[in-house]
Amino acid sequence: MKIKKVLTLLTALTCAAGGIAFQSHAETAQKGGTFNFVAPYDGSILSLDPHMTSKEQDLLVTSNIFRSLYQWSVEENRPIGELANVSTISDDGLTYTYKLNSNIMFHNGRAMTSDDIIWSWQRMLSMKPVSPNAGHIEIIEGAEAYKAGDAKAISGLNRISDSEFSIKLTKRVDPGYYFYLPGTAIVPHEAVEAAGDKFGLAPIGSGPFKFGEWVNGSHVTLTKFDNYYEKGKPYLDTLNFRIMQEGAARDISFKSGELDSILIEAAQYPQYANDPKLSKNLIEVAEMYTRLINLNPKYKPLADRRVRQAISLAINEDAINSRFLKGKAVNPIGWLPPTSEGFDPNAKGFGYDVEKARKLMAEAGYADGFDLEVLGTGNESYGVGVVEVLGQFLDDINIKVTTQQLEGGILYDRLVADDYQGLIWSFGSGPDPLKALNRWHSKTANTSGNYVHYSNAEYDALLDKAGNTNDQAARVDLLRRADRIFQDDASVWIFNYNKAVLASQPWVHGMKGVAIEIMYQDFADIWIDSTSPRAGK
Amino acid sequence: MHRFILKRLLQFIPTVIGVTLIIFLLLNLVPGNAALSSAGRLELDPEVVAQLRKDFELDKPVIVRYVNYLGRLAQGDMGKSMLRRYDVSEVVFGRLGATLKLACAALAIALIVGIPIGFISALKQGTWLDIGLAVVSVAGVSIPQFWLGILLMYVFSYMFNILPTSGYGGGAFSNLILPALTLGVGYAALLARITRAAVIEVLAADYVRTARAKGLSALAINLRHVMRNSFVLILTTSALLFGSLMGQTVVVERVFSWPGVGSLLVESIFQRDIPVAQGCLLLIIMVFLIVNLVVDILYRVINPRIDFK
Repeated sequence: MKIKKVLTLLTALTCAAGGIAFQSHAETAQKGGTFNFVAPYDGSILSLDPHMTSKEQDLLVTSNIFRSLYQWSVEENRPIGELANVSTISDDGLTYTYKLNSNIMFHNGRAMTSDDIIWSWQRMLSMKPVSPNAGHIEIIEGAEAYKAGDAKAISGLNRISDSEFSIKLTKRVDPGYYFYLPGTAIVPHEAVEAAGDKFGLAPIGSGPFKFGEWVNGSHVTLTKFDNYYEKGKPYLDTLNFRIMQEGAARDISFKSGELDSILIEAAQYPQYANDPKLSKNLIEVAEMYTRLINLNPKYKPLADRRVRQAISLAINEDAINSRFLKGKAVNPIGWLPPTSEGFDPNAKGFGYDVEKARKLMAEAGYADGFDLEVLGTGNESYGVGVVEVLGQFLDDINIKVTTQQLEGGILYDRLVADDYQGLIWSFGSGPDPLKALNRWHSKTANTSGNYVHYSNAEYDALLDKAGNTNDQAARVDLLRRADRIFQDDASVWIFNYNKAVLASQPWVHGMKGVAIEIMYQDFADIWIDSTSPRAGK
Repeated sequence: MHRFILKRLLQFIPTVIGVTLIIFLLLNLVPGNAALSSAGRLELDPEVVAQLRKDFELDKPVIVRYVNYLGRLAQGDMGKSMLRRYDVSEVVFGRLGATLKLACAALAIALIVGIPIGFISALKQGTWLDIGLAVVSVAGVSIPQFWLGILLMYVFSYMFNILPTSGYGGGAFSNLILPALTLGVGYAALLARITRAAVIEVLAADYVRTARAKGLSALAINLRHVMRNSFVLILTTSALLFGSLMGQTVVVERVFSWPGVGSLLVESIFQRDIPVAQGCLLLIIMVFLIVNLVVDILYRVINPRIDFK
């Protein structure tokens, strides 16, 4: 009996100690200080109004000022409830009832209610010019009628009480994948109405940081929001986003200690990866962007599946990724990247087999090969440079590759007009695997993403079935099978998934490998320790 | 003088109309989908794209859009940014201060360094000093701004850690030093070469020979005759340099994240934000025209023999 009591006591102590250890981990997060981060993409931040922009450069900042209904969870690799949680789901899987979390305040001191959700999304659909993010809201029943001006409200969006509301969807999808996006964030109507078009210049949200200062083309400064609904967060006092397009300038700023974390480009990656000190603080993730060459089926040789498969077999993707792209890429398998919920860990890529490729070319009647012009931009990771390298591989099966460099907008025009033979680019392939694979559904117009006019009845049927099932495991299985079919048809040549890399200073804690876009860091969780030159006092 | 200024100002009107037409046509004829770019990405619901085209009047013929644009411009309205969705004048004028600051600082470096070097080179023509300064000048003209910017950043921000690497830093002087040096070095070298040539030409003039024959000291000749007479050419070049600086800041602005008009212009062209690109170009051209007018007036001040008629 005594022994049992002692064991019970020991167990209790162990659990308590475990609890303390867990808490102490949380407590070790030090408060205060300034974090200097970068906005590394294409130039100036254009707007801090989340409904007016869909640019990553803008949204990586707004995602820390605003909050959306859902938030991307790195741990669960899917969106989870943020502002509200689902209380019930109807039997048909179309109507979701939500309960808002308590204590959510806007930076102007007002509590958020269900009306703010409804008003924000109605705004997205009714603003002129239309919000580029309006498409995400159109999954709600009645949204299109409201956008067209045929209804006074979105019929599928209903207020139940100040803290409860329901959403009726037009089809059975996981709403988290639509409403986690920073571009669907909830805004306070009175602040938007007061500021009008200029709301994006001094925004008011409900996120962990308040807007501080914005010097257009230089930096944005955010300051801690004391009434943020996650108690004790954020840890940082100040968060600066420095607009820095040049990788070399970012590199020097980081090494001089001015920046706390930077995005690493392919040119810098080997140096960081091989440096014993710098490599310790690298975060790498396979982002949900798949790099490919669109093979236009209207160009006769590419209409033959055997030719397309031969192209995939004749190119050694690993050699391109490890040597030309210096390892800053993840080798491909199917359309979905390894970070996708629908990725099949047992699937295998085409591999590198020139003999088999030659056989397929001969079977298709192209033993003597043909000419292939591939269009692309000057992008170092998925531009004409890659085409020049792969041309050497395709020489082995007598395909003579030429390339032409074009500006992005012009390239897009050529893509949607089917005015190309091959075209190298990078497309989003997540986070919702169903949505990502539906790009290649035969009903998807080429202007909406099915640029190669891919059509396979079996593939379509698997996706349709996946869209109609509530069984998550069955859905994932269907998606994996569909991805395998798409891969086998080789309608596009996939050569990698982007390996996004962040380098951080040793004093930085809490940065994560966010697969949807590594720059979408949630700074509510990030802190710096006392060794930082900008630590809190 | 007043009539001259008024006449020159009136000449601005047809110039500006001509320039707006060229800019408008060029920017609107560039291939690429402005409606898609206005949304900031290349993959959008076709219905959203169609709506954006309508909202931005991109569905109307170019000539109709130009007439509408000109009409608005006459009322001081430069239109709305397709990406930022607020007034172009606010976007562009918000960046002008930073560019003027950078261009003035770079010009100051060019004048302070370039003119004395040019004078010394000319006065010591053919000596080792002249050859050495010529080598330095040629190097200064030839160094790519991007490379020089990164090099200065590496030395002063990383090795010595005494200057910030980039950014506007609330307008702090320390943030201006590296971008101004990067931009100013090439212009200093160019100005040194031009000053040298101008001074050598004046030194060979008859009136300088006469002054020497009169027994004037070298200092008096250089101050009274050489400097004054070579100054007209130097002033013209400096003014042209300033105008050129306004449009040449783009590389430096990008490397140092300097929030000026140059980088805004390039960004807006790539992003197909046509109203902003038009606004930037118009502003740069207006500054160029005004600088030229000021130079014409200064000519008269320096040399009253110049006749405005």
